[in-house]
Amino acid sequence: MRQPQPSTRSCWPRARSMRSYAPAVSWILVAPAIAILAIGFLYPLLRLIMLSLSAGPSATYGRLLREPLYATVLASSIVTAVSVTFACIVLGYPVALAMARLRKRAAALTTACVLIPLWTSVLIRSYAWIVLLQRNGLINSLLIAEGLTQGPIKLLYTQGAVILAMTHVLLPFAILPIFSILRAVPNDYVRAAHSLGAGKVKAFFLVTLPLSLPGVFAGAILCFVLALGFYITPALVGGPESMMMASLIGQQTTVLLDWPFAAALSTVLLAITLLIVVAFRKSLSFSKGLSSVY
Amino acid sequence: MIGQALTLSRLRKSYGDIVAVNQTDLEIEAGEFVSIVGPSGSGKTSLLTLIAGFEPPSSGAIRIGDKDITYLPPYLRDIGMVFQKYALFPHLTVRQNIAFPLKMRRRAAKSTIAKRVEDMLELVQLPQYGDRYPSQLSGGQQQRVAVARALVFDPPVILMDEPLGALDKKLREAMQIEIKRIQERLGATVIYVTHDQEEALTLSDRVAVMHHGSLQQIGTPAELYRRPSCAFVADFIGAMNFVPGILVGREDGKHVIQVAEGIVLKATGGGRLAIPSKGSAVCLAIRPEHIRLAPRENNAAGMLAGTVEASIFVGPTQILLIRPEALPDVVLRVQMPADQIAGLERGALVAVAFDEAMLQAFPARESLAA
Ligand SMILES: Nc1ncnc2c1ncn2[C@@H]1O[C@H](COP(=O)(O)OP(=O)(O)OP(=O)(O)O)[C@@H](O)[C@H]1O
Ligand SMILES: [Mg+2]
Repeated sequence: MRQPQPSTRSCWPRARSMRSYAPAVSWILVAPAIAILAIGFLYPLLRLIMLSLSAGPSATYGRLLREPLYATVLASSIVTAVSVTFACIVLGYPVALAMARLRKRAAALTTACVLIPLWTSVLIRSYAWIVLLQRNGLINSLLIAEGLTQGPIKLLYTQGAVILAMTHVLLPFAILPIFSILRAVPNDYVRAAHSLGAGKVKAFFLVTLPLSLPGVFAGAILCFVLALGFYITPALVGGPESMMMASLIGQQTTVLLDWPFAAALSTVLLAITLLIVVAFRKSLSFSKGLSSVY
Repeated sequence: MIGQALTLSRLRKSYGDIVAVNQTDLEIEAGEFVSIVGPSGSGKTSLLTLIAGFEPPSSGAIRIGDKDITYLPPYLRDIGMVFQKYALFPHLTVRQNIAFPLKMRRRAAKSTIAKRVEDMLELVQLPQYGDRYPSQLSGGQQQRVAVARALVFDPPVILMDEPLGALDKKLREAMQIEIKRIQERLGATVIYVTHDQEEALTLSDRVAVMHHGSLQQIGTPAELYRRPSCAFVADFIGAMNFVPGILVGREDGKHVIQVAEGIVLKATGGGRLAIPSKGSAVCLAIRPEHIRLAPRENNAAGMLAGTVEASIFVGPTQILLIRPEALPDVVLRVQMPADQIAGLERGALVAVAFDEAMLQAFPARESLAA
């Protein structure tokens, strides 16, 4: 008698639960990481907080509150980080979608285009923007040659330049998580949507996009956290009015040598970053369905 | 009655050198339940993919009713599909999943949609699960939601790709009955793909057998069982014994076949393939229940002496594996009521006789079924 062959059913890739290991094994496995974190991160962090309090809280945290400059810089840093994150997601999503849908060779090519800038130094990419944006740079020369402007316009050392250059640097961090999620979403969902009567646009907005949101959020958090602490790019292409927290901290440490105050600024930046990330994650748990899929 | 007829003509699909579906003709009546069975890689899913419109065919045509839909995009086809892994949208609740096709069509008002969804939940017996997410349901419940979602917009044709493949035997059988019940109530035309020939025989009005991208035969379960058109179908549907032999002549419209030194049997020509000329190799096919057994001492003329190699308990009947002395390469499978096998233990000497009216001959080369 012919028996039906048991077919090999591959499941949707899903993170395996670690519960199958004995607790002792788990602890041994994470011990090195914990040790490195403790020595290289937690201990310095503790020292940082102690340092910020060493001159008395009113001299550091009090000053932070008293002088409006610091709140202004903090606010503008957050605005910049949010703008950059937004731009990265809006520009990155279509790229990720194309990468996920293209055939082999074209996909490899786009992936290379995304990854090669990532492997290039941030310093080089920031200088490249200076070359492009400066008074007699490529863009201004072009504008003047075309007769679109009379004289060179100020592009460099503006908030816009900071957002542009940072978006360029951080774009891969938005693209890659979205891409990997889009790749993992089985084709059957889109097909199911089509068979149920959803056209291409509806299938995208009702199925593909919601299913890829975890990737969007991962990319957004990554971009936001990196952008908030960005140092080199804003320092090179930004002006005084687009100063970011990281530059301010750098100034206090290396120029003014006010280490307790620099420590206080760092602590506040860290706390705010954590707060925003946690708030973001909370607002994310909107869908039970999604969280159980990934 | 919402079902509509489905016609495939000369439908073909190839992926490069691989021919997934080969020149397939198929006519399915409105409201009919047709199963497609076949071994892995035989092109079952590819055929459904073409009917659903997810891939364009290389050539040929598909019609629903009298409308040609060959190049219509899938979202305009009105075909319900139940996917092998259900493909329920994980970010939507059960209710939202079922309402999805209704919202896409904008045919009905909100309240009508809600009513329809509740009716559907009732039909698949999940009325209290509407607000759950698919991941919070068992496999069988997800399956029922998938069926509900494919049926809710009254599609004239429903495709199911191994919808019960992931379920255990008990649940499978319960779901088979449920699917059949729903289909009969709604009168939809169903094409049901399965690996499991038993499932196909239970559910279907007609069964189509696929092999290497081609439809080998389509017919009622009884037709396939009694009159297989080729050795592949004979082997694939139900259990079948094959005995190799040589065609030595013809007599009264029957083939005379020599299976061993001095043993000659008469068989009808099975199926559509003509048996080649005298002297060529053929194979004889006979069902386990068409072999009779007798104790060795009553050995009459025309019976083959053999030894019982194994006796397998399968509930109401018993299966005996017997090796005839004259045919050392053949193990015959014999099925008989459990109360008639007294004394037929392993090693018992027996005589077997074929019910000649049930013997069918097929050309030998195609008997090597997958
Ligand atoms: N997208 C594709 N590209 C190339 N070859 C394909 C593609 N889809 C299917 N095939 C090939 O077509 C043949 C039929 O595949 P199909 O999936 O239809 O088989 P099946 O009968 O559904 O098998 P199973 O029972 O294992 O699901 C196989 O040889 C398969 O490798
Ligand atoms: Mg298949």
